[in-house]
Amino acid sequence: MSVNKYKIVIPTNDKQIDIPIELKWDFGGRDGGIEDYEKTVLSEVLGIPNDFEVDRFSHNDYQILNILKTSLNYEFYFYNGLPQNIPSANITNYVSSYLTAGFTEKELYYYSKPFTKSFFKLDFYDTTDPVNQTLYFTIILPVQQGLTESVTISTSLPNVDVKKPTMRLDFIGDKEGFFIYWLRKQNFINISQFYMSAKFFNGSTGIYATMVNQPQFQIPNPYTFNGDNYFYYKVNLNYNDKTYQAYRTDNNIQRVGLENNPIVWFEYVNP
Amino acid sequence: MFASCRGVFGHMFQNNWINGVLYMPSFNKQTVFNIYGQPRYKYCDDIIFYNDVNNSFFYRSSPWNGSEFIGGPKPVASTLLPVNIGPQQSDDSANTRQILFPTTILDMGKRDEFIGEICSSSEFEGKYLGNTFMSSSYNDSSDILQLGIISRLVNANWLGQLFNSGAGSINQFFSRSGDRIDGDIAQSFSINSEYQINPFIAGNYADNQIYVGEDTTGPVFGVFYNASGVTNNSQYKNRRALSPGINIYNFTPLLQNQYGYPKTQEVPFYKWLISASNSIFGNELNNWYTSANGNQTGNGFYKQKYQSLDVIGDDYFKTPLMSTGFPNIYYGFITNYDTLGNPVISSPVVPNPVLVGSPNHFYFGLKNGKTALNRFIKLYIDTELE
Amino acid sequence: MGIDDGTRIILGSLRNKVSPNVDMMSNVVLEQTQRENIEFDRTADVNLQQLYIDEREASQVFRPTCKFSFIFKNNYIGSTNYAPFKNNLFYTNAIQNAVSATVNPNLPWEGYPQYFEFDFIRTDNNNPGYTQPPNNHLTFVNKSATTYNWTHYMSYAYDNNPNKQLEAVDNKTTASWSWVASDGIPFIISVGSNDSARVISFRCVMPHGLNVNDYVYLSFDYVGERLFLVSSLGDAGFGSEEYIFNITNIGYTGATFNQGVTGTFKKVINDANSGETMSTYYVRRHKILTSSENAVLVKAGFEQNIFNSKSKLETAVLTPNNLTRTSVKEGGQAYTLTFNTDIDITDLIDNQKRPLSELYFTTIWKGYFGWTNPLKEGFTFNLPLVNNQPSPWWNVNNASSDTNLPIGIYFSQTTPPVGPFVYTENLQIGDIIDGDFCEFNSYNQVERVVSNILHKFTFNSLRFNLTGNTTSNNPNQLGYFYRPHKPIVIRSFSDYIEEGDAQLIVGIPNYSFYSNLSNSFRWRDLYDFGFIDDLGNGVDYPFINGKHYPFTENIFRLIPEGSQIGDQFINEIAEPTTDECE
Repeated sequence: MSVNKYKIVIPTNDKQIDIPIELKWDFGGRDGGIEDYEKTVLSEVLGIPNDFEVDRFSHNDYQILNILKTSLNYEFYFYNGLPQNIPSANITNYVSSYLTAGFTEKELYYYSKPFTKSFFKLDFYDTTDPVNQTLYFTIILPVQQGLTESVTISTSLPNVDVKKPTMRLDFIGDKEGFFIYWLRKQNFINISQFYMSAKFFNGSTGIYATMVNQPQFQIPNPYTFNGDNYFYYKVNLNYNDKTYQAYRTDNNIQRVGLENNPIVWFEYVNP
Repeated sequence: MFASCRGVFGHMFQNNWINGVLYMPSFNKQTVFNIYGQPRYKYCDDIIFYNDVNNSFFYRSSPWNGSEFIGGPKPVASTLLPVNIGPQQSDDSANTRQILFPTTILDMGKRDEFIGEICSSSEFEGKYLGNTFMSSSYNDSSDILQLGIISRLVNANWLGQLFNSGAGSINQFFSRSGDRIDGDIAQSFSINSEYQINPFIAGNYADNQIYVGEDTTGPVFGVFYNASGVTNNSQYKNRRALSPGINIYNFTPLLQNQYGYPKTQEVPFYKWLISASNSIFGNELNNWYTSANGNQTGNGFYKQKYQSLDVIGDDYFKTPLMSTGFPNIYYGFITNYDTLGNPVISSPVVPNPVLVGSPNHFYFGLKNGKTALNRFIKLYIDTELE
Repeated sequence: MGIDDGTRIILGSLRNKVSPNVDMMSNVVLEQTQRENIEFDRTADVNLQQLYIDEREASQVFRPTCKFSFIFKNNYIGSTNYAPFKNNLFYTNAIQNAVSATVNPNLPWEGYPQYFEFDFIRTDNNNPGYTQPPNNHLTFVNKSATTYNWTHYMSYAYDNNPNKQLEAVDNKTTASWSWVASDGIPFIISVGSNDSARVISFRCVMPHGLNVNDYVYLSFDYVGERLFLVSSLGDAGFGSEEYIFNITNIGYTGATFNQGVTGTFKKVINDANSGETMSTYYVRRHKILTSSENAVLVKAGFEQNIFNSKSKLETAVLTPNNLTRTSVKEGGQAYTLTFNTDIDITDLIDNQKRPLSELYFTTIWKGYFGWTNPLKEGFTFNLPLVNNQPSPWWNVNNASSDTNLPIGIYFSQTTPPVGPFVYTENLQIGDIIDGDFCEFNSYNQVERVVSNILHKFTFNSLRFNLTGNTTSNNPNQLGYFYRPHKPIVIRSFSDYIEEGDAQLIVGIPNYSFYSNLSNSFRWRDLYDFGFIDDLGNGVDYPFINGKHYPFTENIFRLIPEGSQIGDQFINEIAEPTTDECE
């Protein structure tokens, strides 16, 4: 500091000198802070990558007579009577056979186009409410899978085996539709319970046949009923061990899809 | 004898099944229209049948009454003709009942030898026979004829008849009706032309395998035929593979697998009646048994699925000496060996009459080298020498 | 603020005798300039490509995938009398066995084990008497179809084991070595000083990794000297440069360098700095990162390898149980392996304390059906046969070749139960297993795999006795080999070496090597993801979902012993190719 030379004479009163001390300063790292803040804002604006990786969920194992099994069992039944006779129908009117669905023996045996173009469509929703539900994914079960039944295609030939709509899906053998491919993590969509509905697309008629989870004649009002209980099965995913289990919508204890308790679907017939 | 060198002995195939190419003879058809313009056909309905449902002609097969092959009546001359003009009822040169012309399919096995290695399926487990078929299973029979003539010449009775018969001396070879050669020689011709058999040529048979003898009716001639059996591609194994479809892996102990021909068809057969004699070969009067009854299975001709014929289970020639192992194995043709491999001339024949030939005769065409089988060999069989 | 040195503020009493001391006060004015930030004044350009690069660099999570082409030659015929095995062979002498069985049904049948016993995914889940009742060996669980024969894991090189005991036998001279990994690479002198040649040739049973003008530090000395200059590589044989190195024979006397002398050597780059430039040798050890349940193994579509599958029909009459079936000798399906868990390498370092640059697909033979003995481990130099027999290293009684893998046993479900049958238990996350025999040079910062590790399994002769076994319990049978570890490069180190002074350069990685001689740190940079240099170093895997998706193909060979020459060269002078044009 350079100061002028002043002679200070002792006054009769106190004198006061103002010495200006100039400071120039700034917050340290403010630029860096702004850059960090900029990054934070950018990440909020742009977002972070979401993980859409899917994993393979398999049917959870179970035991029957102390034998460990993993098979997922479906049985589809078609109605062989007249639509107006549903209320008076009985269980024998529901047959697990494509013949009841309108195919001939030869069409089944020779895998004709109408037959091979048919399929079962399993839709997985988040809720049973048809107004608000969201369809998350669909599984197609081809008709080329499944067990067989013996039919006659000619009186001068021995009986032959044709496919029937009873499927035993597993890790080996028929496995189309056995695995559910769903998001690996619950970050993006937090859901672990789905409601599964079923339809059959008939390749010869071009019509979807809706399926219900019990014979229609057993439903109190077979044509006007609350679909929540009858059109769905519940499927619970376990993200820890990548498995799923199926239940009836009204029962969270008894699993379905097992060899001794398959997932049964019955054709719904409009009046 | 001079006549035999001049071709007086001709060969024709009759009364038996032969495998080859299906031949459909042509026929004449006359179309006549009625007043409504609807056609009506005139044709020989002995061999042709018209099906008006699908408007097609079919060749007649064999008379069938719903459960049996009953055969058709033998053709006889009209009673309007003078006596002894045309075929007579008493004339036994024609078959008593006529099976006529049934046809069926023969499964000749895998087309390629390696198909079983590509498709590991039981459908292809049968033995590969494609390289064993020839255009014809016929083997040269001149040696047999020669020996047959010799067998006659060495027989005193026969010679006497020969000299006594004068101009008709050659007829002594044709003891059967209809100018057909003696039955013992005929059966030898037939066996020699079967599929996968040791043919009668020099060196194949020893002297003790040739029989020249006689019985009360005259000379008898026969050959103790055989077929190779022990090696992997033996003739006997090939015959068993052709019918009834058995793969033989080992003879002692017997290891075999019957894959069979499940789609083979049931067809009728004529049998061959061996005359009672002191030898297995019968005598000159061996002949076809063409009645529709008396075949030990009830009325109608003997019937069996064509490729299920089994030399062990069906009415083929058998003697008590035969077994399922060599050297006295059930061959199916007229022969007889004991357990040491020695031919044995006399032995009761059970049953009699017997099946002969089927399904072991093959004939694929008239033109040598241009038959259907030659075409198959050219396309599918590797004939190049390695 | 600066104070002029010429200004002194002193007390009044010190200035003048009678001046009073008075307090002085000065007002310090603090001036501050400021202004408000204006909204939206700051702009930032967002570059999508840069954003992608940044996210990619920041991510340390990997989802590796591997395609396996399984190459297998079913080579060994044996015989068995254990009914479930006997009824499921690929028969080689069926007619004779069937004939013998008519006399004595208890005689063994001969054949190959079917391909199902070796396949990655077993599909014989419905085989009565074997995988299904009645009287079956075990009941097949479909869920375990991918883990009955093999188990798959991810692993990484965790640390080094320099004290691993190793043995080798030279199949040409039958000379043998027994050394620990840190001793280096063994050799035998093939052309010695007593041969009066211009060079002394050292032949190794594994690639030596030397270059001309490198030095070798021998396990013995010549008049106190142990460092020798490599003057040339190889001899006249094709491919011998990798296995033979030569030093100039300057007239060495004595027996030190005589033909037949054995020893070990270590590579030295600079003889003036032998301490820092000498390579170290060790056996790598791997740590498992996933469990067997995490592996998802599926068929790779309809892909087959180039070798056709071989199968045949077994006719009922030629089988012990009189059932017609199709038996499969070899197959050709390809498989794809993924994991349902992510591999996060954030906190992981490799065996050289560097960031991870490689992960490994580790495949272990499980052999749950009990056809085989516990696994043995060795290296490629243990492969060649010795006098047409497996190397003594593989003897069951040689504890050095035992793996440390856990073993399980069980008894069959037949009546009565038969056993015990042994298999390899599943590994758990964190388990340590051995890896390759490696060399690392700190000065060059390069790790080289000297010899791959191999696993070997042999058949349990009590259940399946190989044809040719002269004794019922042969302790050193022929068997199958495979390489358990398949590396996948997830990052690349640079081809060049960085060198720098800590006081002058920032950002020196913590894995760098400090050279006392040059007083500087030496390291190789890690290339960014997506960068590939002129030499092809670098990785550019898909980056999606915020994760890396590395992919590799693995030709997984199950090698029958004796059929593989191995990495040994053929010490033959190659004949020139001649054709009709010459």
